[in-house]
Amino acid sequence: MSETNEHLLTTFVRLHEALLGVDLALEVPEVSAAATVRDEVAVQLADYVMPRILAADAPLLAVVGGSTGAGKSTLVNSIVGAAVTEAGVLRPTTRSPVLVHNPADADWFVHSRILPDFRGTERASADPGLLQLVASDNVPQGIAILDAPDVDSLEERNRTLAAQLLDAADMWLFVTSAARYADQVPWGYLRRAADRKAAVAIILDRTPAAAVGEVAAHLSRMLVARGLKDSPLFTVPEGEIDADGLLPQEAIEQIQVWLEQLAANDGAKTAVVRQTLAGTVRSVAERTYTVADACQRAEEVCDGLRTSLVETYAGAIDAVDRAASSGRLVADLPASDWSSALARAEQGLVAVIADDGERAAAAAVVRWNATDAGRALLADRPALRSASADMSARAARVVSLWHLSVRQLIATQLGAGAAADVEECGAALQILTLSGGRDGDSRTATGWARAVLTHAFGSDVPERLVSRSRNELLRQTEDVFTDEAQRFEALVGPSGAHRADAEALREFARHIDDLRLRNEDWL
Amino acid sequence: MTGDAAVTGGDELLARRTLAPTSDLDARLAHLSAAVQALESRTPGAAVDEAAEVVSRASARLRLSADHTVVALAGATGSGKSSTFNALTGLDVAAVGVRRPTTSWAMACLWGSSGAADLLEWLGIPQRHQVLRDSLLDTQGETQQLQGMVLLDLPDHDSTEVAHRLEVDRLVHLADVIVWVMDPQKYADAAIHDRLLRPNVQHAGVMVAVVNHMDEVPEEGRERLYQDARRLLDEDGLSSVPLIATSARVGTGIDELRAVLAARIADKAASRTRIAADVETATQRLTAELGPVPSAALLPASRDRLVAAIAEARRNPSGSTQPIPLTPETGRNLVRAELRDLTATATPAVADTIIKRGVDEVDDLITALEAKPAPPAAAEPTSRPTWLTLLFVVLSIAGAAWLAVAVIQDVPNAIAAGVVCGVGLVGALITLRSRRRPRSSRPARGDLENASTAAVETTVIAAVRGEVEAYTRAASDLAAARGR
Repeated sequence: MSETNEHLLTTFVRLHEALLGVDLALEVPEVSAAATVRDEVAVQLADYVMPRILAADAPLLAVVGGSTGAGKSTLVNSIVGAAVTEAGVLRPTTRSPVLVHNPADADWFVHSRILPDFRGTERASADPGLLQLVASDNVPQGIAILDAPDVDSLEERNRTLAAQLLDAADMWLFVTSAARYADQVPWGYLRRAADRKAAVAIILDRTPAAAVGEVAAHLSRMLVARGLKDSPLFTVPEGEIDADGLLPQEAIEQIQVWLEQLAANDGAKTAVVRQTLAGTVRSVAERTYTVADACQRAEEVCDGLRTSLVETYAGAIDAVDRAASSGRLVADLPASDWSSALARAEQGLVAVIADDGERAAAAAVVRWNATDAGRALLADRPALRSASADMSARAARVVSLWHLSVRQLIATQLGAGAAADVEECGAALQILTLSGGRDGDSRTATGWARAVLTHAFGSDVPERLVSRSRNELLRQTEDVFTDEAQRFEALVGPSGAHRADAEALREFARHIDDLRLRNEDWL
Repeated sequence: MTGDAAVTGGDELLARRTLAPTSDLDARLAHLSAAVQALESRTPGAAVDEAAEVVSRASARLRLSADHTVVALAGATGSGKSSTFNALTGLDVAAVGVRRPTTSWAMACLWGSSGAADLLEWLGIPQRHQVLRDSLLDTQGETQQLQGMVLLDLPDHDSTEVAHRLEVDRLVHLADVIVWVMDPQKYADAAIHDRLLRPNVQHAGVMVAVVNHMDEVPEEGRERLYQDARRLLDEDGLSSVPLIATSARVGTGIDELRAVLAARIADKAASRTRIAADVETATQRLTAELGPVPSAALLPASRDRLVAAIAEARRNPSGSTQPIPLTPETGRNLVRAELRDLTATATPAVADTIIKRGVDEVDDLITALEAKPAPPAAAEPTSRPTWLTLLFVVLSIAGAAWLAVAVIQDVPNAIAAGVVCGVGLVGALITLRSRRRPRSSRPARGDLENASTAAVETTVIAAVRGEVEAYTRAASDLAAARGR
């Protein structure tokens, strides 16, 4: 193996691991679409790219794919000259894919050196996880033919398996019929093959003799228009099948001859293998960029969701601040009644914090629901439609923590042995913080509070104390609102995680392109 | 009493008799429409939009010719829609080709055209794509048999051309009967079963299935293939859909298909069957999305708890009987907390809508109470002291004047004058004091609680009741819109 290939292999092993760890669960069309791409690339690396680089001289794997009822099985049986795979009128047929190889090539397949995901078996089976191996002298050495399930099967499992097997092919033998050749699903696959520059041969099967000319001409034009002009096109006329379910020899002669020539010509075979592998490696890099772009997009979407939370809860803190400094929480009670003035103000403050917490949760839900990703994250999470169930208790805890910290502030300010009463000064500072700069005459609770603090600290101290006490209140509120926002934030994950994924993937893709383009010696 | 009941019963019976035969569906549609209207503004969503679409589509179809039945031939490319179309029409109208995709735009063939012009315009089939069957003056019985049919040949549903697929989706929504034309190669395609058949189980009564190209299957395999296609339809939940094996090319099965279609056309009920299926599907989805509706029976309990909670929040912590004012925040918190039980069983969207209504209402209530300074004292006590005081003042002045005259003239009734003056002064003072009193007097606690109970009842609870009733009505409209 060349040095470049060793580098590539190491990169692919690490890329494979990185792809499996990428989180693309976000419900954004381009992100969820990329999740499929990520899975396909990961599977293709493991099933095809890495084994193919490790075993460059393994037989050429030709996968027969196509639509339901296009006649794949009959065709494979006819090429092999024996009914190795069961063809039937009934659809869908679920069974293990069948791989026919020359007995001399058995070692490659029996020991799973290619297609490592599949366990080989000798017998026909209905388990799509198995690979039925058939040794036949009618298949030339150096080529193996794999009969894949229908690409458009009613069974989803069949469809996935067909895609996986086509992704593992060195060459596609794509079978279609006069009734099928313009179907949407198979053309989706052919576009995929064209994108990857995979070697494709098209077989137009089950076509009435009268229509062969016109259909083949039209199909050729479609192939050219869709970037598959180099693909050979074989036609198999609709004909009688014999008792064993095989087509007459002359119907498939063209294809057989072509396969034998390909097998006999090492240069041509290597060229086919290299064309598909080179195209696939290029496409792996391209698709890695696609996945990286999706990670980047996921980061942007998550950023947007996080920003809307930050704004919403910052707004909630502002609202608490406005209510606290409006002065309306302190009732116009006589000075002698300062303790009930404080009790009522604290009670009002608890209600304000609880209410703003509820309103912020509702606002956050509205803003998230306005985006697809946010709506999907919130679906089936009814608890997030309102604030934490114990919001009132949390709000009460904020106020009692503030109550205590104001006492602490007063105690440190007064110092030991001061004559003034900490409890009284603390209450005065709380009342003054919530009175909104109202002066009030000395007969009201507010006037009393100002008098008490001026008496204890002098006339210029209270403003400074008020601002520290207000900051303390907002800090305690922020702690609770941060917890509230965290309930939402937990759904989008930590900031920067998607960006890190994107950067790592881009680095892999750049490295692959670099190795691929700078070195002639790969493969 | 009995007479009244008999009259009402008779009216109902009469109403039912006049409405019943034709308008059970109209009534269901009206109920669905009412539910859509109620929910559109409250809890909008995909199901509401879909139901609104069904209502407008169905109303449009019901206004158009009831004598015509729109039959659409739908299917995959190459399944033989066009050859089936030609076999049914006995004409060579639709292009039959080996080249795919073939049918680009829908073709229509009419059996009996009078009154169908509007219908075709609604279907969006241009004149040049229309063929008239009865203009050909043929004498075959089938023309009579299929009188009133508008047969559409749709483009391929699985085509590589996106425009074809959109045209199919549009017309499949509008047709009264849909004939799915399948073939031995494609009858098990995921594209048909997953996308078109399984999601439309409610429309089983609207569908007919055909496996065409049977002549291409070896004789001995035909029965097995038919049974397999039948099995797949049954698995889709469409066991009531007739399945006909045909070969449009050879002509087998076409008579059977024609008979099935003739039966659908003859009872002129196909368009209504289709609309009924649409209404049923939309109603089921909307019912599922609406979820359980909160019960108005829980409202009195919620109200009592809310009133008690408000009273508790207004209790003066200093022990005074004077209640403290309710802040908007407390009001909102209490409404949220006390309506939680009421909306516990509802979906989050419905619960949010109801609670938001209550919260807005309590906000308005508190703002209104704050804008109003103090409850005005009764008019009586304030006006009486005013003129009484004047009277006493006048009396005391008159008494003083009399006293002065008496002193100057030195008459003996000076004592009486002094008494009149004194009474006037005392009276004026008393009335002045009694005028000040109502301002400082406080209403009894019970009065205020009663007042707030009434205020909560007429604002918050009334608004919430309105929402709950709207949802209840929507739910019963949806129940009435369901078929039986």
